[in-house]
Amino acid sequence: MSAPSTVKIRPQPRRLTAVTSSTSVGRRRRWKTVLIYAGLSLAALASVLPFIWALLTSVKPYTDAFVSPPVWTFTPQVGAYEELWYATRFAEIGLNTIVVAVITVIISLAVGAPAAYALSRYDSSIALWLLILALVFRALPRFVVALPFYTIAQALNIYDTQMMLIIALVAVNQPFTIWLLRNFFAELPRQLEEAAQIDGCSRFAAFRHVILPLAGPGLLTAGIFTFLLAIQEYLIPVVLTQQNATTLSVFIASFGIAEDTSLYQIIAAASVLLAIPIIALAFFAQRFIVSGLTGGAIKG
Amino acid sequence: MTALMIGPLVLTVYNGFQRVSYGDPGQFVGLANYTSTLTDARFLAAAGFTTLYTAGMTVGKIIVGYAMALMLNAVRPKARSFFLGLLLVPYVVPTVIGALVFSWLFNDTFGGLVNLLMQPLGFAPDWFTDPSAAKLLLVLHSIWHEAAFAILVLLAALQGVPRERIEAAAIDGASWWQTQWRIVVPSMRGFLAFIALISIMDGFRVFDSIRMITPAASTVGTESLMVYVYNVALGETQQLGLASAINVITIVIILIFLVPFVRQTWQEMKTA
Repeated sequence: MSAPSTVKIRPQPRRLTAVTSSTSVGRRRRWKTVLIYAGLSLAALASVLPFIWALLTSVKPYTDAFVSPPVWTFTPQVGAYEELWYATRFAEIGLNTIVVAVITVIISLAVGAPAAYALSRYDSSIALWLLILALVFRALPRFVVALPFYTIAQALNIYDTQMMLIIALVAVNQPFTIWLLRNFFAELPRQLEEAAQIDGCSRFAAFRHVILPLAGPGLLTAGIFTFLLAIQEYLIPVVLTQQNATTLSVFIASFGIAEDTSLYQIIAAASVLLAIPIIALAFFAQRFIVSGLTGGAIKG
Repeated sequence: MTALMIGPLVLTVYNGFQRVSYGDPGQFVGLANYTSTLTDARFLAAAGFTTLYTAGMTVGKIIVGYAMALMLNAVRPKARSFFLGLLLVPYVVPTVIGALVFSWLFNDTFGGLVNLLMQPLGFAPDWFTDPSAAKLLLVLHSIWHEAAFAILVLLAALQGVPRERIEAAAIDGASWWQTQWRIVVPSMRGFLAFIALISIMDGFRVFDSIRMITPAASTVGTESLMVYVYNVALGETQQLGLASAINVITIVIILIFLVPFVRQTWQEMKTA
């Protein structure tokens, strides 16, 4: 009520200065917007430049690919991709990577969802300790898992099998899955399953029919993260596999360390082929990736 | 499930007290692995480099993450999700592949793009053989690789900063820097601590990127604790006991950093 009246009694000259300063503020704001967009564009370019460079390297003729300063005009070639597909085990190992990742996701969710649900509902001190344990395990170096698993795998004769690799990946990713799902379950009101139980549902039936359908986005987020982690993992497959169960990360890395220039274009092609679907995922599943990454920090 | 996680840990601690290699019953040696590790110059060098690396990339990620989050917070939602999608790319691609293609920008064999751009500044080191340049390169890679996490957390945090306090500061004539430093940063302290914690945990177990960017890490002083473990356990020697002891020491270091976080979670759970 008092605000408009003070504006009214403002003397004329003051209003004029207010007008001129507001246009200069406007100009400054426009400059600020330009700077912000320039900054963001630069950062975005820096994020993807290595992949663009790998793409260029993979399609340049061999004589143009490895010279400094770089050659900018050339006729694109797909020879590296043909060689990658037909002359190496890329396709076979790629298929194996997907199979391993999908099975890891299924087992992680099947085990993780009930565990996370229980943790979100019972606040007994055991649940709390389990949660802290899950957090601590999320922090442990991979070697703590990889070296003992290597010994076990040798002893049980399951070294270099998909089963061994999946068991290890589930063990490593489980704490994160449980932690993430617990936060999603904790947000669903208790009254939901209490109502179901009053209507005669068992505790498990209430979880299955009431909670699980509502937790869809949470399960999808946890699934995407487990899938990405399984594909990204390097140390576990490098220690636990040799030939049969090996994954693309290990395959590409083993080429990358080799110091043979003639192989570099094939590695570049493999990197590009692996990166494209993952980049697509980052765009189409952005909402879930963002909620998964911030979930632990904000809701925890 | 818990057995899958605790089993390996128990085995690690047990092996730490043994002189053992693969398929060998092992022999109890007490604390010998620990005394030889803690007096080993190479271990101390690895611990020193790992600490330096962790500190550098944690500070770097927070600065880059904060700047990016502020900029993203100022643009329209459509533009925000477009830029975010691109900024997420280094984070979701497998570390080993990201590290490989990132290092190519610094590699003369691949055209030496970075050195070409830096030539006018008179700074064009050999990134893979000069020890300080190699260290810098690894820190730069880590910032490139993991800044997206800091960006996302800080972007979410920025949206929780009370608007009234920023407006009140503007009315009181606070400069932009003062507003950031006195109001925005303090209200995000918990988030900054969370990023630092995750970053420290990741820093102490860095392995993948070093293996790709500087394969001969021990010759350029970029051998981290985990690369050292790899070399001891699977590379040059097969001393599982010694490697386990180094693992236990690394776990202890990480646990020390985790204590405040666990305590905070504990208190939140008790009040919830």
